[in-house]
Amino acid sequence: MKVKAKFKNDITSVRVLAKHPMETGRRVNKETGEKIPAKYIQELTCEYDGKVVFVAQFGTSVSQNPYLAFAFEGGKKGESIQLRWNDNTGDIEKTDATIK
Amino acid sequence: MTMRTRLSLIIIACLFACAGIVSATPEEDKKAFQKFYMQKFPGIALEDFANGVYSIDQDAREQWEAMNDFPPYEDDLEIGEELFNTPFSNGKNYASCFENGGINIRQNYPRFDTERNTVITLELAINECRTSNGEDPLPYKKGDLARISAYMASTSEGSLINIIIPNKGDGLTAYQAGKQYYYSKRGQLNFSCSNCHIQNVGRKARSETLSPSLGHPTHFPVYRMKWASLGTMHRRFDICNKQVGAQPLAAQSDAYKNLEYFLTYMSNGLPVNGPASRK
Amino acid sequence: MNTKTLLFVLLLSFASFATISQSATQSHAKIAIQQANELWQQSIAAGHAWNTIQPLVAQAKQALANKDFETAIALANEASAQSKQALIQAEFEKNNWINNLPK
Repeated sequence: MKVKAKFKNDITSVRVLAKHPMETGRRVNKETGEKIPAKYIQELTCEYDGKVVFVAQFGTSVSQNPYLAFAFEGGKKGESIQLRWNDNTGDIEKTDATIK
Repeated sequence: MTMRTRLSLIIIACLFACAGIVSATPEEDKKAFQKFYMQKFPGIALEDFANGVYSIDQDAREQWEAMNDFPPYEDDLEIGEELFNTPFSNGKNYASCFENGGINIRQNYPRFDTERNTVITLELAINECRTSNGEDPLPYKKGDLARISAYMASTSEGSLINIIIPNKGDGLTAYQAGKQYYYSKRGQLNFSCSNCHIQNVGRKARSETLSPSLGHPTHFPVYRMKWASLGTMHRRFDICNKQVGAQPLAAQSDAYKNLEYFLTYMSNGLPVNGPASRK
Repeated sequence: MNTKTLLFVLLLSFASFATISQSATQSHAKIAIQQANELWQQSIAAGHAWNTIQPLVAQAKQALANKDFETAIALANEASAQSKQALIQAEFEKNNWINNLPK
C-alpha cells in the first residue's frame, strides 16, 4: 500500500492506494473461457495508538487498485498509523506510515 | 451598379472566400482552432487545456487530482526509464538515435522527415532505433514501447509543443491529409472527430464529458483507468474508431501518423505533460 | 412406357431437381460472399471501412461452411449493403468534410 498521512487542526487525513486486482469472480478469461477466480479485499482497517480508527468493508463492487481517502480525529506528527487489509483468499497486507 | 455586375462581384467574393477556407495555412488553422476553444471556455488559460476534460469539468478535476496523489503510471514510468537506459546487444543505446540524447525532445514530435517524405512519430522513431541496432521492434500501442515513450515524454515536462511543417517535401500534404481525416465523418455512426470534440465539446456522450481536441496530444502516452495500463495515441485512435463503428487501422499507418501530425500542430504552444492519467 | 418406368423417371427427375436447387443456393452463397468481400475491400481502400463489416463477412463464410446457405446469403448481403453505405460516405465526405471546421 502507498500511504500519505497528514495532521492538521486536530485531524489526521489519510490517503491510501492499495494494489489489488479486485477480481469479482464473474469475469471470463477470453483465451480459456474459464471464469477468473474471485479475489477481492474484504476489509481494510487503520489503527492508531492501538485503536482502530477506520474500517472499510470492501466487496466485489470496488475496482482494481482501490484508492481511499479518510480522516480521523486526533493523531500526532511523527507518530505512525498501521494499515491492514485482508482478502477473500486469505492474503493479508500490512503497511505502516508516519503522520507528517 | 447593374444586377450583372453585382452578381459577378458576389461570385468573385465567394471564390475568394472559398479559396480562403481550402487554402488556409496551418498557422491560420491553428489560430482558428485555439480561438474556438478559448471562446467556448472563457476563463481557462491556454496551457490548462493540456489537462483535457479536467480543465472544463470541476468535479471530475477534483477526483482526478485526488487520484494523482499516487499517479497510477509511476511504476510504468520507472520501467520506461530503465528500458531507455539499457543498452542494446551491440552496446549502443536509445540516446544515440535521438537529438539531445533523447531527453527533452517530445515536444518536437511528430516531425516530418523530408528525405523519407513521411511523418515520424516518437513511437516510430523508438522502434526504428531498435531495428537499426539489431533489436526486434516492440509491439505498438501499449506495453514496453509505451513505457519508453512515457519516460521520454516525462523529460519534456513543461516544454511547449513545437511541431514544424517544413517548406520542402510533402509535409503540408501530410498535414492536410490529417486535417481531412479529423473532419471527415466515418463509421456506421457517421461521426467525425470534430462532431464530438468540437461541435459537442463539453456535452456528454452517455456518462462521459467530451473533451476538447486542443490539448489532447500533450499528455500521451496516457494511463487510462479503463485500460489499467499505458497506451499511445494510436491506441486511443483505435478506440475512437470503434466507438463510431469505423474500422481501426494499424499503428503507424499513414492515416494515423498524419492525424497525429495535424492534431499535435493544433496544440502548438501548449506544454507537454505526459504521461498523465485519464479515465 | 409402363407405370414402373414412369415412376422411376419421375423419381429421378425429383432427385436431380433437388440436387440442382441445393447447389444453386450454395453457388449463390459463394457469389454473395465474393461480392461482399469485394465491396468490403473497396470500402477499406476508400478509407471508410466500418468495423461491422468484417464480422459479417466472417460469419457468412462460417455459415457457408456449415451449409446454412440462406444465412450465408443474408449475412453477405448485409455486408455488401453496409460496404455500399461506407462507399457513399467516403464519396460524400470528400467534398463535405470542410463543413465541419470550427465556425
